[in-house]
Amino acid sequence: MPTHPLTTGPEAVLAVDGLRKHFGPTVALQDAALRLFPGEVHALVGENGSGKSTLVKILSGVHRPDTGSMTVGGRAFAPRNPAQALRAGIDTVFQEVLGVENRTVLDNLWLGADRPLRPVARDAGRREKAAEVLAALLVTPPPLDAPFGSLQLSDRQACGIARSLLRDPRVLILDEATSALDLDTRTRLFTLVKERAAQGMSVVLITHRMDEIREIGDRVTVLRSGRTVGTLGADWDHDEMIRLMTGGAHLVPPADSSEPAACDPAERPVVLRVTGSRLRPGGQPCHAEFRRGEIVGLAGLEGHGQDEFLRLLLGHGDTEGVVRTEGDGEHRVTDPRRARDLGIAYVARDRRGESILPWMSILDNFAVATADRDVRGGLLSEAAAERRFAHYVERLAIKYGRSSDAVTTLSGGNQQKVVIARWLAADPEILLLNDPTRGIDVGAKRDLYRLLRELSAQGLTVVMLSSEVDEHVELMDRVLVFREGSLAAGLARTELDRERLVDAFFDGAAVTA
Amino acid sequence: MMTTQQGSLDTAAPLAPDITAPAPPEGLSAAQRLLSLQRRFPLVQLLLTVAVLGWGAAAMPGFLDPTSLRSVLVLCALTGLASIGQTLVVLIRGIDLSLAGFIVAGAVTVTQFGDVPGVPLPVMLVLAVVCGGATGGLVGYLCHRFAIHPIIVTLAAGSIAVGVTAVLSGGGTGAGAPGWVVRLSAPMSSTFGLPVPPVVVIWGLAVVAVSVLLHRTRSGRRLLATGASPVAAELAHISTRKVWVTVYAVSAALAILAGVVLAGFAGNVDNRLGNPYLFQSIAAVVLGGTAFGGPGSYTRTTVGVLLLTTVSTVLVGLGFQEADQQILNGVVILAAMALYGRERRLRDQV
Repeated sequence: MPTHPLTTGPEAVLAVDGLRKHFGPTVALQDAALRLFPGEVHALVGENGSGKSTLVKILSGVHRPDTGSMTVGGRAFAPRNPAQALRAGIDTVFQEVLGVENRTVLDNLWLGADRPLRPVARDAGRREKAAEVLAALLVTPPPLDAPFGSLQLSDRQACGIARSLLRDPRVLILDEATSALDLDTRTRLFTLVKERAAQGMSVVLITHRMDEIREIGDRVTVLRSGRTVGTLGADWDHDEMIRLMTGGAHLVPPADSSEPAACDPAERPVVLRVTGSRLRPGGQPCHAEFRRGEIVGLAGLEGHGQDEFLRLLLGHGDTEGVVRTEGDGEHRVTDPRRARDLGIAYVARDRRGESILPWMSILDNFAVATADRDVRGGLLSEAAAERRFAHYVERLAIKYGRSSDAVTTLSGGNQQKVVIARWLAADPEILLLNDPTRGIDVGAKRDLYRLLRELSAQGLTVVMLSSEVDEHVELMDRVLVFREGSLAAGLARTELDRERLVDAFFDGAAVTA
Repeated sequence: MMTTQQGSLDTAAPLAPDITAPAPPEGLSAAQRLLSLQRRFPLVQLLLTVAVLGWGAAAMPGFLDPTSLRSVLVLCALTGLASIGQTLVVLIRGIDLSLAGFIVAGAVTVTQFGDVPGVPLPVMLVLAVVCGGATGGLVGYLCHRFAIHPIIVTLAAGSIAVGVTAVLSGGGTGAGAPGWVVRLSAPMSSTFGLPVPPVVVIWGLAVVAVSVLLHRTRSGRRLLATGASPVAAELAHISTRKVWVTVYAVSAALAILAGVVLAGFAGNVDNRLGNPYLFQSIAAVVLGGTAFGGPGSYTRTTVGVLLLTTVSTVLVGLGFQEADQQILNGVVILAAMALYGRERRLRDQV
């Protein structure tokens, strides 16, 4: 275990030591420390539950620590609310996109920094500055007078970041704030961040993407179970970081994941077919076939039609050409309930908002879609549900205390596993997943990949939308790439690599943009 | 560069200890155990009820006599029956202000339409329940289909129910309720040899029935899931609209039935008969610790009813004015809100 290479010096713009915070019986932070120097981009990494979010919320004045010291520019710093943190020059962009839907983009950009009786819209200077930052971030910036609610997710997040940049903070904290950005905006953001850093702004970057840290991170601080376990310099080594995050576990080289499938996928029967459906009015008709036991990735820049395609397979939208084939039988997938009856299950994108039943038990969350099977003598039998659940606990390596505990007591990764178990319990033949690894830790991701490979080997067809390029390269048998609302390309396992895939995202898009 | 990352995703490294997972039960202190019990069952409220009963017994000789206890039980049962629908509605993130109106409708049916030639009272009652249920169902549909807040729709529905009843009955206050209805809630009547009035037995059965329905049937599970997360429930192929229509229909139908019993108890029926019960139904749900959208149960509401009724009975017995009671009721509700509201915020933070 390396010692903390935390140089103590007055020159640190932000210094944190011995920070502790508990919520009820849960200790979220035990001993967190951080040194942030002017002009550096400092990544904060750790698995889910390691205390990153709590640390950021303390820095931004959302929570107050139990004990510990914080200084900004050498002065004691103890924000009692987010406004005080802002005044001290610490500005945080959170993963959740926060904006006022029915106000304009411009109002949202100056939100909190606006002045009474002086509408931002008539302040030419502010208009200009806002337009400038937006133009630097986005290829096609939205009109300043457009309602915020009309923006795409990626643009909303970009506006959130622009809002912070406009305030010109000493310390900018990006807490998973790049997760919804499309690739292009992310690249532009990083360029902008580097420029600002060169002028002295410090950045704390929290992200699940190693490539982002590699790209702009100067140093990396690793948190584990609420403690700072080390800070790595610019020459950080990937294995060392993983070792720090997981607690020094011995690393074993990965199994060869690119091993070709046992039998030629092209010989397997088609289970689902899309013929000529349009993802958007005026879009190109899509044609695709899915075979038994395939893992197919849906890729593309954010908002280029992959969401609509997945929804199509679930029975939403132009389902005229969506057909489930079983043997000689052909059945149209007309709506979500029909899709379920035809053996299609769907794991939604937003775990908190669309998947979990927050206060209900782990067991209830598992059984909600298949409760019919637990009826004994007219009543629901907990024991029956428990028996069904036990099967998946083992298979998905779900870690929990008691199945009667609320599902929210689990970490994000384990919650996602419970949701996936919910849908596997319906014995689907086709499993649709919408970015299931977003925001879950490395360990849970690994468990999920292993599971999906096992299931596909047993004949399950997996169609998975993912916003991570690496996930496609690592997991998929084949990837469908979407561009401008249409299915644009298909890449087979043999031709699948990072460069080709990213190239397929942009091919053509750059010309017409 | 990227190869190392892919490697990391597929290694056999164990997960870091998950600090958000709850500690095993044996690691909990006695205080934490009590706290976790309180989260599942309104223990504090139950203890408070017992304490208030003790206080009443100490201050008023004869307070714990069977006669006086029976009266308290009848009052509890009346509030309890009026709170069933409210509990269900709150569990799906709604609220039902039409309760008062439907109670009046039920009561007036008994006192005014008992002697319509050719239509026996039971038929009349069935008719009232069906009409009330249909109106309630429409309320649920409107709220869900057009995303209108139930406060607005139920306020309107309750007002319409009172109005329609008044028009049909010609506005008369009517004769009293028939003898069998009066006996339902007469403190000295008995039930099949049991020394308690029928309404108490009916309430007891209702507690069991509603609890089983909520927690051990598919319909109950659908209801709870709809409250916990409407979006997730819909994606789990639960028709949340059906749930809303059904719950509001049931709530209205039960309010009609509660009105029938109340007509016998109150003797004198007027347009304001339902108002105190509307307030008490909401108070009992909140006091018992049922949150909007859950968690919650009718058992909790039952404890809320016991506490609310005991407190007001003791206060009346000690000679407090109605105004004092109202102040105390308000304070108690705020206290319960503070307790449960805080708990939820805490959970969101972790």
